[in-house]
Order: sequence, then structure tokens, then C-alpha cells
Amino acid sequence: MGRYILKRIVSLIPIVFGISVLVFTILHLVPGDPASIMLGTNATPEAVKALRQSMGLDQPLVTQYLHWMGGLMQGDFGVSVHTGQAILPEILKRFAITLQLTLFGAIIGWSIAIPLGILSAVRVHSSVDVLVRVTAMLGISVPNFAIGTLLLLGLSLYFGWFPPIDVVNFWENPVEAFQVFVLPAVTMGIVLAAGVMRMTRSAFLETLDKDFIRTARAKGNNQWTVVIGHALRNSSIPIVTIAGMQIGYLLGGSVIVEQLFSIPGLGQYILDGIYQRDYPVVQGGVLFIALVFVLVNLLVDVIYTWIDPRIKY
Amino acid sequence: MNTFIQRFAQNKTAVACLFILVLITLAAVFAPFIAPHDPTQMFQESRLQGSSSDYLLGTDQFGRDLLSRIIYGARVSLWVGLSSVFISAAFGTVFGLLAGYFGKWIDSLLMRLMDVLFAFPEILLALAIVAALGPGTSNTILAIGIVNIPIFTRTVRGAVLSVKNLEFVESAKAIGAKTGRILFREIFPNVTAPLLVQASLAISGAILTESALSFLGLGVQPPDPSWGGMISEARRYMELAPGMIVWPSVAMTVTILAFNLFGDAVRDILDPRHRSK
Repeated sequence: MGRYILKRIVSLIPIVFGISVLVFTILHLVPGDPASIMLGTNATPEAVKALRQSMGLDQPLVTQYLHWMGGLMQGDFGVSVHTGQAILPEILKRFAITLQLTLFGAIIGWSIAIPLGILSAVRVHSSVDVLVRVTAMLGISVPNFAIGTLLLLGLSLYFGWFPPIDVVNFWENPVEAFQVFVLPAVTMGIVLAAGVMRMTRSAFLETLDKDFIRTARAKGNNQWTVVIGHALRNSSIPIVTIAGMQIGYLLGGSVIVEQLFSIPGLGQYILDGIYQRDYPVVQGGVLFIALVFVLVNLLVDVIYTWIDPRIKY
Repeated sequence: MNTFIQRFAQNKTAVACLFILVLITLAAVFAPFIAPHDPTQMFQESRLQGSSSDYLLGTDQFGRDLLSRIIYGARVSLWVGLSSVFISAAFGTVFGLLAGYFGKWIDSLLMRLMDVLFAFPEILLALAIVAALGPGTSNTILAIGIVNIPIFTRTVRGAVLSVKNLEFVESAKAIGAKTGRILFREIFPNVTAPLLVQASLAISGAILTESALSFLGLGVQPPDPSWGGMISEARRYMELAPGMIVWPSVAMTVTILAFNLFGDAVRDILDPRHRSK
């Protein structure tokens, strides 16, 4: 097990290297000179030159990359052009918020999706099944920002309720934190639930067709012993796969949801970076989320070996 | 091909979705003739109105006709969806054919590259590309096109691997066919079915991403109407004119739903393993 994890981590090194090159390349493709774009049209040539020098933009690209990479290795993501503050501490602070939001959303999504997906597979072709399938199909077809906006609209029109604006730490003030996070988390949860529901249903349909399930039924077990005791673990690989992928999409989708609900998480930091042409911030933020995404996928692979001990590498 | 059309005709969902998609496409293509007003014309005296005979779905904060904007918005969404999927499919096909057929280092190199692209949540990578290139419709198409290359490459590569050792490829080699001919005349026809399925499923994703980028103000730029941008603008006026949010959401959902169901149906028809239970 330990050796397997180690091997997986080693195999991630080229991917992580590739990610860093890609992020760096994309944000150095900026047409025109980033320094003069950042400073605007009124900047003096001296100011532009000074910024170019301080950002290292006068160096060759490879040197710039190595310099950036060297900093990253020591936990230095550079400084924001806009605020002049170090980027990594800000990323970590905001990631804590995004992570709370994402996990909250995931828990809401999973606790709706998995039971309903199972029910829909067990009662296949029943009215419950049809309802679940239609809802899931709708759920993957409505964009998350439309769901969020419609939720806000409905609540404010009919109940006159707006979520509080100030973000508070969950451990300090759970009630208020809940009020702040509940709408964005529900928004994220709905989109996630749709995908997980579809996958749970099809995974269970496949498993419930297998011989060992027939045997378990033949022994006289009741329905739910068979479903939970025998089918659940055997159906869980695709469900865990999609759940892991969805966590990654939630992290990406947090950009939109945070913007919609004015939550100062990592997504909004990246977006502000884009609006303010603060390229070091965008570069650091995008890289950070991609790395977290890679780690979540690693975690999913590790969970596989726990679910199905036959998986050996 | 005839059996495909027959099976398609028997699939009610597929036919219904195709019908809706044709309607939307026609509306988009003939927007100037169908739309009751110019989508950017401002009727200052009738701002933020509800439905009326003049403005069927009401007006926005500048007094622009919502129905006309939604019809023109379909143009943008379909254009971005189709052209970005075309880019992804074209590159994905070439990469997938090369990786699958030649194997060895070409395969490793291309697939590792795809792994790297896959390591980003879609919207984030699209966002980064648009951040670098600048907002606008063509950059949005390019960004979404690049983001979806890996999924097409994997699909095509898988299909190539499953046929490249079959006898018809061997016999083509035996009669001395050139590599290009083997790739495009012998192998490619076997790749079209999974490619078509992937393309029909990818369009809805592309439209979703476009609307999200436009919502963030980084996709299609005002005053050009796009559904995502309309919803974004509408948030400030949501209590005065809820229709500004509701109607573009409905238009978007119907379109994406139709593409999703259509894609599922095409997959069921072309890929017997996926036949829904």
C-alpha cells in the first residue's frame, strides 16, 4: 500500500512539471507587454521599464520560468502586482474558504444523490426512477450560475431573504457561517448531485444484474441487506471516480459561484487577478487549484485499493 | 448508415430533440427576420417592462427587447458551441490517430500532454487561456476548443487501438498502402461513430462553458447579446424585472437539455454497450 502510494506520487512528478510549464506558458502568451498592460496607457516608459525589471520580464522565458519554479519550490509564489503582497499566504487564506464551501456543497450533493441514485436503480422503471432521471438530466443542463441566480431571485422575491455578505469562520460562528454558505453550497450541490445520481444509478443497475447478487437474494436476504451489504461496495468504484472528478469541478466552478455570491475565496482571487491583469496572482491561483485537483485524483486512486483489494499495481 | 437512420427514427427522444435543435438553429440563422426588434436598439421610454404585445418577453434596463436578445443569443451560443467542438474534434482526431496508430514515444508524448491538459478543471483552464488572450468571442472559441482536445484524443485513440491490429488494416499494409491512406481511408471510418457521439455530448458542455465565461464578463462582450451575459447583467434588476433572469435561463436550459438528450440518444444508437436499461 505504502509502496503503491509512493509509486503514484513519483508518477505525478512529470504531470506536475507539465502543469507548471503550461500555466507559465499560457500566461506569458499575453499579447503585448504585460508590464505596460498592467500599468495602463498613462504610464511613463521609465515606470514600465522598472516594472519589467522587477518582474524579470526582460529575462529570457526559460530563465523566468526557472526563477518562478525556484521560488515555488521554496513556497514563494511571488507578489501581487496590484497589492504588493505575497501571493501564497493569500491563496492559503482564501483556499480555506473555498474548501469549506466545496466540502459543504459536496456533502449536500452526495447525501441527495447517492440514496436517490440507489433507489432509482432498485426501483428501475418506477415513477421514482423516472423522476430521478428527469431531475438529474435537468441538473446537468442548467448552468450553476443560473441555478444560483434563480435561487437568489426566488428567495428574495418570495421571502425577502438575502444571505449575509460577511464571511465568517465556521468554527467561530457556525450559525452565521451556515447562512453565508448555504445558498452557494446548495448551488454547487445541485450540479454535483446530478452527475453523481446518474453514475450511482448506472453502477447499481450493472451490479444488481450480477450472479452474486442473485445468490445473495436466493439465500433469502431482504432487499436492503442485498443492496447495502452486497451491492454497495461492488458499485462504488465508478461512484468514487465521479465524486472525485466532481470535487475538482467544484473547485473550478467555485470561480463562478464565489463571484455570484460575493464570497472572497480562491476563485474570486483568481478572477480579480484576471480583471486587474495581475498575472502573477492568476498564475499562482490556477497552479494551486490544478495541484489540488491532482491530489484529489491521487486520493481517489488510493481509495480504489481500499474498496477493491484486487486492484494491485 | 440506413440502419442508423432507422434506429434514430424509432427513438422518440432523439427525434424530439432533433426537432427542437433544428428549430433553435433556424431561429439563430434567421434571427434578423424572426426577431421583432434589433437586439441592441434601446427603447428608452420602455425600460424594465414585463411581457406585452410590443415586447413579448419584456425589456431590459436599457429598454432592449428580451426576446430579440434571446434569439440573437442563440446565434452566439450555437456558433461558439459548434466551432469550438470542431476545433477540439479536429485536433483530437489527428492526435488520437497518431498516438493510437504509431504507439511508442509518439503515444507517450501525446498522452502525457493530454494528461496535463486533463489535470485542470475545464472552466479554470478556459479562464486562464481567456485571461491571457483577452475576452471576446473568438478567444472564447479558441479557449473552449483547446480545453476539450484531450477528451477527443482519448476517444479516437481508444477506437484506433481496437481496430489497428485487425485484418483489414493488415491487408491494406500488405498491398503496400501508404501510412496516410491507412490512417484516413482504413482506420478513420471506424473512428467516426465514437467521434460523433463525443461531439454531440461535447457541444452542450461547450455552450455551458461559454455562458459561464460570458457571465463572468470574459466571454462574449456587450452589447452583443449572450445568454450568460444577459443573466449577469440582470442580477442588479432581478426584483424589478425577474424575466430578465428567467427567460435567458429557460432558453439556455432547453438548448443544453436538447443537446444532452440528443447526445445520449446518439450514443445509445451507435454504441450497443451503452444502451440504456
